[in-house]
Amino acid sequence: MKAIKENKYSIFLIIGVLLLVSILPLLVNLPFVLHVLISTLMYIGFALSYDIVTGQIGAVSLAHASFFGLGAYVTALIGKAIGAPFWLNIIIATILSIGLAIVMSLPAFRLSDLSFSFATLGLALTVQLVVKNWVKITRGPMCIHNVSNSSLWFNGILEISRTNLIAYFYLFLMVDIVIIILYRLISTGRLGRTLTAVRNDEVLASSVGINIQRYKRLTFFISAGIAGAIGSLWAPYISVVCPDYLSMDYTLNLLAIVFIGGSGSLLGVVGGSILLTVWPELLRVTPAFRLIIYGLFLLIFVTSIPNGVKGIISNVNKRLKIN
Amino acid sequence: MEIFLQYLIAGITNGATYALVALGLTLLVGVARLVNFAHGDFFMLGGYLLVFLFVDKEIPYLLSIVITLIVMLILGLLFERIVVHPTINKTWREQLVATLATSIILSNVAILFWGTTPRLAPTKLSLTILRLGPITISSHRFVVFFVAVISFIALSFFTKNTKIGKAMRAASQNRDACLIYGINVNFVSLVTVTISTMMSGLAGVIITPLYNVSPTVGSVMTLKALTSVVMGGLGNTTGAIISAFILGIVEALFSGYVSSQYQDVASFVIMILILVFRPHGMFGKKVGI
Amino acid sequence: MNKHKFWSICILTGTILALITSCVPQQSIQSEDEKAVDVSIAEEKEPIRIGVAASFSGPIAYVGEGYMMGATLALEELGGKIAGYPIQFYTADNACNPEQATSAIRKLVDVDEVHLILGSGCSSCTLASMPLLEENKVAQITGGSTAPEISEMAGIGGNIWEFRVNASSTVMAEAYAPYIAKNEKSVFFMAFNDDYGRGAVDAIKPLLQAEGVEILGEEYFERGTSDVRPILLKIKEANPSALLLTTTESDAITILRQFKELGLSIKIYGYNSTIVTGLFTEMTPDEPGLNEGILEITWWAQGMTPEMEEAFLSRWGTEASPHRAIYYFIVRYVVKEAIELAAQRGEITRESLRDALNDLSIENTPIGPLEFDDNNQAHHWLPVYTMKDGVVEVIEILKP
Repeated sequence: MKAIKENKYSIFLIIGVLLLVSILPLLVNLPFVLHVLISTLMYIGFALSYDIVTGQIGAVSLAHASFFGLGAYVTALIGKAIGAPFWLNIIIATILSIGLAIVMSLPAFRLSDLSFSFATLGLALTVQLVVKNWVKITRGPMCIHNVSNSSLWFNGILEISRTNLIAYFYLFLMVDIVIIILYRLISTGRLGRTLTAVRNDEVLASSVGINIQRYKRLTFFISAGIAGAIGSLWAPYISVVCPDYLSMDYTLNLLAIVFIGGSGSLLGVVGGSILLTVWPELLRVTPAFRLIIYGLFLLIFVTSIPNGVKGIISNVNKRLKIN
Repeated sequence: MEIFLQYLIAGITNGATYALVALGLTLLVGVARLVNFAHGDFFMLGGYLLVFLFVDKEIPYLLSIVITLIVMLILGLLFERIVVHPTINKTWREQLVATLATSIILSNVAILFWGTTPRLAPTKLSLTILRLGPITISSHRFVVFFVAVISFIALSFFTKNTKIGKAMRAASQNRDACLIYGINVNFVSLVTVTISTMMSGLAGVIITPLYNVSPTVGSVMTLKALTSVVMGGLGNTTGAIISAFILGIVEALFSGYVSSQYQDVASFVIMILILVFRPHGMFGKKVGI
Repeated sequence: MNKHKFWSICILTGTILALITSCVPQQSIQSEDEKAVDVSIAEEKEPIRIGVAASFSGPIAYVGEGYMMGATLALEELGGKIAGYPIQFYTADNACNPEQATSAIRKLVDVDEVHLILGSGCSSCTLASMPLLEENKVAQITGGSTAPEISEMAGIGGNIWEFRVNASSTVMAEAYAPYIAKNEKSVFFMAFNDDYGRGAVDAIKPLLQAEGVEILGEEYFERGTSDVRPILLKIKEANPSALLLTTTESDAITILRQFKELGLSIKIYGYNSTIVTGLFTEMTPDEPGLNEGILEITWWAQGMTPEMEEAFLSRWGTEASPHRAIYYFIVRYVVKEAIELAAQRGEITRESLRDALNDLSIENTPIGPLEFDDNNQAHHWLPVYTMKDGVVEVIEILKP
């Protein structure tokens, strides 16, 4: 994989666009539209956290939903027990997700490529089975319902109610901006430069004294932590937390977003998230047809459009420059 | 002891179904290095074709098998041209998304054609129950077992003794060298994918009489086949077959003596342990079919 | 990859799609999806829009499909109109996933602007949708979710917008436990590993223990598990006097076939299951007697409503089942009476429909009088029935 050359200013572009988006709720006040926007924002953050692993270290983890689901469960359980404010939920969810990532990395990072993916697949399914069958703690498939609303302080003081969509919209917008900055730091900062070196030539990188494993694991942990935090915010919004949250469906969705968008590219992943979250909502056909069109869309993108959305964007850029 | 024997037999016969499905996948992984997430969906299509031909159109079972195989041949060719060929030179990550997309398309096309209610296709054999001492067993399970064994032998013979089979083995070891020596890698890929698809369809036709077929049955089968293939060492046919039987036996014993809810955990843990401690599968060979 | 190739693939996929569309059998219910039934002729009155939020994709898509069969039939019998208002159905898929349930409800409420929602068979989706009903002030009638929490949270002092027609697992357990305790000394549970199965077992276990029935074990399995012989062997070894089964038709077929294959002879009780139905018999033409002698309890039994069953068979070419029937009853009686009551009182709005549901009291339906209590829970009759010589025989109808 080549080094990712991306416009230096793309981060400003994206944050600018997001700020423009931020006035949207003032213009459109239809809850359905807001809900789609919130889902899109959630998926942008979620997909970026995933791409930190796939795009930066080139390892396709199939366990990303586990961290998201763990974050959601932690929040739901804490909410039932003490009603903690959302920042505390996020911190605990992040720490526990990183904990799970550390456990998972023990076997997974002894492997590479395909074996790494299979190992993470097995681990993810195992974690889901445990959550599903450990009924005493998680209520298993009966789900935890009525997850308490996000509140800014203890015991529901300054509560963001579930039906206050605008509040959730801005909450996720802020979270996304933080994740975008983090993503940018990881891909261009010291860590990012090291990772690029590792990705380009692992042998060379290790010969100049870079501890490849350490950097890879570190990236994996950061990515898991972010996913846990997002899950922690998502649980009170949906209000029900089920073992489905840890299912492969989420991970496969992310995989599609990342590869349609263009792995390793900020613009691409954001574009892919918007594309794959918004347009299924616009398609008003039967579910079977919707999924068939979705599948065809994925297939055409993967087989015929090199580099996905990222490729299209850079193509457009080139043409603009020529003209 | 008697109950242990019964668990064991349940495990072996169930392992035979996994083996039959895994056979086609391991060929694909070995030769084309393609992890096909749509493999189980071809299994599902095979099952539905059987329902359509054998139950709805009342065509004899053996003839239904032949027709299904011909349809699977065409589908296999299409699958290679539309999905595999355009992604063959991309990384396995793109291939993963491409086959996943195929899986989504196929399972929903099945919903459009056959609805979502599961369908059955019992044969005379699957309804005949044999009694061997304390053990009772549907006679169709022997059919599954023998078809699995025969397919395995036929596949081994094909790859070892025919020209195209040898080319497949060569391609599985070194694609670039094949190009230099003038082996038509494109054709090899076409043949491999088609055979794999046909084997998956065959598995569907053979196994469906015992159970039922629904649009979502494919993903379960893909997972079981994938687990066997990974356990046996990617692309190692013998390994995959033995692993499939081990998988079946472990599942049966685990859910018999421990807990049925956690039976999949047992197989995943074994898979991960094998991946970590024997990275090239239980039988250690690095490549080869 | 060049442009030429891209377009050729586009055209190819387009052709495939077109082929699929033209080949799909026309009787598919889903193809009538949007505005599923729009039989309206006279257009004097503004149509009433009814949303159906159910699982139309995923492993239990057939449940959503069955709901639409029942609802469509009922509406056709009513001539497509209730109280002079043409009725339109709008569907939204929730795939039995609470997150998608949120999207589905929001779509129905905001885009389709429905007046009333017919809810999901998945308890998790119903629970996830309840806050949204309150937010949007739209009523939902649920007909398949069995979690007791739903009615605990609904009604006076709770969520006044959620109405449930079918009995919860607790109600069913209370009715069924004495039946089992009377005849059996020990039981073994085998159920789906989901809220449906686990909820059912959780509800009945303490009741049976209190009656002195020994619980020899409980095993849960995933929907669509192909080989259940290890579980059945385990049950054989435990040797209970009865096996309590919570599944639906398709998995029940797998279980009963392997039950027979292993030569087990334990009395089976279908509990919240759908085994003793014409649909089951229809699905197993080559294996008659698979469900012979099984005792079962649900909200509906074959033979209770001969006219509907006949109409169902001639309309869809397949037998009715408890899942398919419940939505028939909901549309045919509950929705009809509610709209008529609301129309009598004045304008049809979301609020007026809710108030009508709240005050509803239907004397005569095939499953007994329907009336929502303080928890917005209806109490229909519970039939206990069995399969005798290939015909469903109702043993007793338990009236609350």
